[in-house]
Amino acid sequence: MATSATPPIELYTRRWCWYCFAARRLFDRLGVDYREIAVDGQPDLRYEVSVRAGNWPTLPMIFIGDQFVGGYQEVADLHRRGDLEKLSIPHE
Amino acid sequence: MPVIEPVPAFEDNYIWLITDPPSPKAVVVDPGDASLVLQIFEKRNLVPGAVLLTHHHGDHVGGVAEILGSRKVPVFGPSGEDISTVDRPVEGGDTVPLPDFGLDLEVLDVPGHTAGHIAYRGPDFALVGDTLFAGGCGRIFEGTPEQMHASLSRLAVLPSETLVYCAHEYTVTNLRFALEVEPLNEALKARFDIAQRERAQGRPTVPSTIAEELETNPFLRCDKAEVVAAAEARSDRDLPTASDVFAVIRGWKDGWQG
Repeated sequence: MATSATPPIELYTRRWCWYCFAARRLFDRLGVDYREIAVDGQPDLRYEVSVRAGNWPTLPMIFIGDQFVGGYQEVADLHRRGDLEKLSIPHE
Repeated sequence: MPVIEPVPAFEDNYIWLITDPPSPKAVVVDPGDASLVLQIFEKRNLVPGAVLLTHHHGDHVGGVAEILGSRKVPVFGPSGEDISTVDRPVEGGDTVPLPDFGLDLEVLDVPGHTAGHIAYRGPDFALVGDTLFAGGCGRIFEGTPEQMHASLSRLAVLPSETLVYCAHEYTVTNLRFALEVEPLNEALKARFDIAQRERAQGRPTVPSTIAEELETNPFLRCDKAEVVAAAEARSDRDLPTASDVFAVIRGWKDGWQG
């Protein structure tokens, strides 16, 4: 299974953020790779990402491939339904 | 990397827990109640490392003894208030060392809600108790409007990206009131919509940032023309200082039924 076929997960976070930590922990536990991008001190970047996420107001913001999937709660819900794996694992 | 997480208590309180996984040490801020904190401690094998109290009200201090049990843990609290569990009284200018977290917090005097109320300032966050709320401010129980206005002004000058951790989830009501004061404030309307949506999902609206508060919290905007005009219309007199404006807006909120 070529890892290059796995849609990259992007996790936008900031310091002190409990829900960012929870999302990181969930991905670590599932053993899925992700790229974490801290938006601390970069309000412009945060704004830009939030617009890309349909004006999502809070952190973290989580993208799987091109798709915005939500914050921690949404990703935990996806995982609970077994849908996170479908999104993050190559379909081949 | 340390994190600050909310532990809901009573109707609308937040007890804040500072932890640095996988370290078992937790700093507990304003634990009015012990039950949920102790459940979390047990589930995650945490132990208290320090307790920080902002003021003497029961919904902020009531759980301290039960959380600590027989443990010897420093309990920081305002030197100007009588709280039996405090063994490390502090006041404005003092430093609270949290060596387990590589953090020193600075104590700020922010009287008004209570006479000795303090806040704790970290590198990029502030634990403000019942002084500054998201979209509002604490009721003045033991101080004067001038004092409370000065306390809020002390917080308003923190760097704009400072995260504000207040102790109650009052945001939607606060913003509804703020819209009475400033019905044309676009940033405020947007924030109100977001806060309603977040609460409908059961998510906390706290922390906010100083930047957000400066744009939308009428109590930090007592020098803005729109807020001055609303307060003068309300009181039907000239209000020469921001502190006068603050007193009118605070009195307005006190009698406001939502």
